[in-house]
Amino acid sequence: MIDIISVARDALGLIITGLPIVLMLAVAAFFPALFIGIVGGLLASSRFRLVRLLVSVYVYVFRSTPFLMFIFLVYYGLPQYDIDIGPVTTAIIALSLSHGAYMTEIIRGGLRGLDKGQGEAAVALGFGLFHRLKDITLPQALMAIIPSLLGQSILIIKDTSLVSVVGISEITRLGREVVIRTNEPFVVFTLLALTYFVVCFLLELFARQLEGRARRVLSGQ
Amino acid sequence: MFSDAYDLFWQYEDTYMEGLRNALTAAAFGLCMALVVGMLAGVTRYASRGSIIGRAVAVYVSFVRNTPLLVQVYFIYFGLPAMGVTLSAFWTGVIALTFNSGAYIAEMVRGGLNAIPRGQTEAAMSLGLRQRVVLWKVLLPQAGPTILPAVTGQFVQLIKDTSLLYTISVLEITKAADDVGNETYQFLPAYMVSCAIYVAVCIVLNLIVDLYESRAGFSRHQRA
Repeated sequence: MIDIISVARDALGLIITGLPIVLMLAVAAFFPALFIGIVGGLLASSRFRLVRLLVSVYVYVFRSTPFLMFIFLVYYGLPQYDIDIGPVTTAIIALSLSHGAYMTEIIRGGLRGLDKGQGEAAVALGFGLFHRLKDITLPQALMAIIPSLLGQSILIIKDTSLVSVVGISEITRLGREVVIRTNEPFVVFTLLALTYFVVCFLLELFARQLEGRARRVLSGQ
Repeated sequence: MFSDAYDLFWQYEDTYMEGLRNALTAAAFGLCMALVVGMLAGVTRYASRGSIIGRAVAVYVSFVRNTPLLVQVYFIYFGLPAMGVTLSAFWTGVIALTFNSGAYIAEMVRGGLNAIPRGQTEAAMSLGLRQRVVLWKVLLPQAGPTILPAVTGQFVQLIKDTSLLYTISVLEITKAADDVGNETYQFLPAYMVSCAIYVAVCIVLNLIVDLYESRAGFSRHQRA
């Protein structure tokens, strides 16, 4: 019994050191992914067929290859072009590119769901492209898809567990090391799973709350 | 670079094909077992809301959805031997995939059942059918067509998830690339071959799904 408690304390210590890395990676990847998603989502309704084709190839390739393999591809690929970056940057790039594809789909859906009259009215009132996007189309589209975006951020947090393969000591890897040392898989992995669960579940609750608020705003109250 | 990958593929065709075969087998077994688990869990959650079993299923689904698959794989990989069950890495992986996908399929089943208008249940009940008959003969056949696209999507997801079996050293598509890379020191081309294999498998699967869904016989149970 005392054994289990000491193992749990060991694991808790590692979770406390590892969790900030997970959250840092997730936040650092979320914003580039969102940016890629916005650009991709806008380009997906481009006038030029080639641009649309490129966007859909990007989305298709990234959605049909697993993230684990993709991170290896980035990890071994970039040094071939003499781009020497650390594992953390590799992980962030891989996460952003991979989730950028999903975000592109989400944002494209959001833009498509928007009433066409909004864009047309903005054109008729003489707004330029930039103002049209910044003040009219994007805010409405993003508001409607906030829950999906937060859902995607949960997926990003879950995917950070895979970056340990390029040698980043985040909590899954640390937990595994504790298991190998102490041979107490249940205690350690339960704690590990609970940690992810708490973080993701809080995000889910937050997403639900935001969803209600966004619906109120969109319905004009 | 692309020609390197091409040469590498033909040189190590056996390894890659073995990996592909293992990945497809694992995904297929995973899907079949997950369908059983997911059906039972989804129906339980739909039929017995609020009961202890219903809540337990809700906890299971929420747990799976909010923890990474890698943690689940480790949990099962290290946990089963601790309970005295020793399986090969492959079957451990299949169990992990089942555990994971079962929860997602349970949600799909529940969603499909919830989408059926209440009038169907009420009509069946007033005709004197028992609850079990209502479920299996009235509700599930109608939920099937709405769930099916999501389930086939889950199969693609399963193929991608088999990549995690790499971490417990099952020779699947990602591990094949790793092995080839270790042997030849050509990691980038080796992984590009794997990437191409994944994309090809997904394209084929999507085509099959499209074909299947466009078949007329399939819409036999569709609601008007």
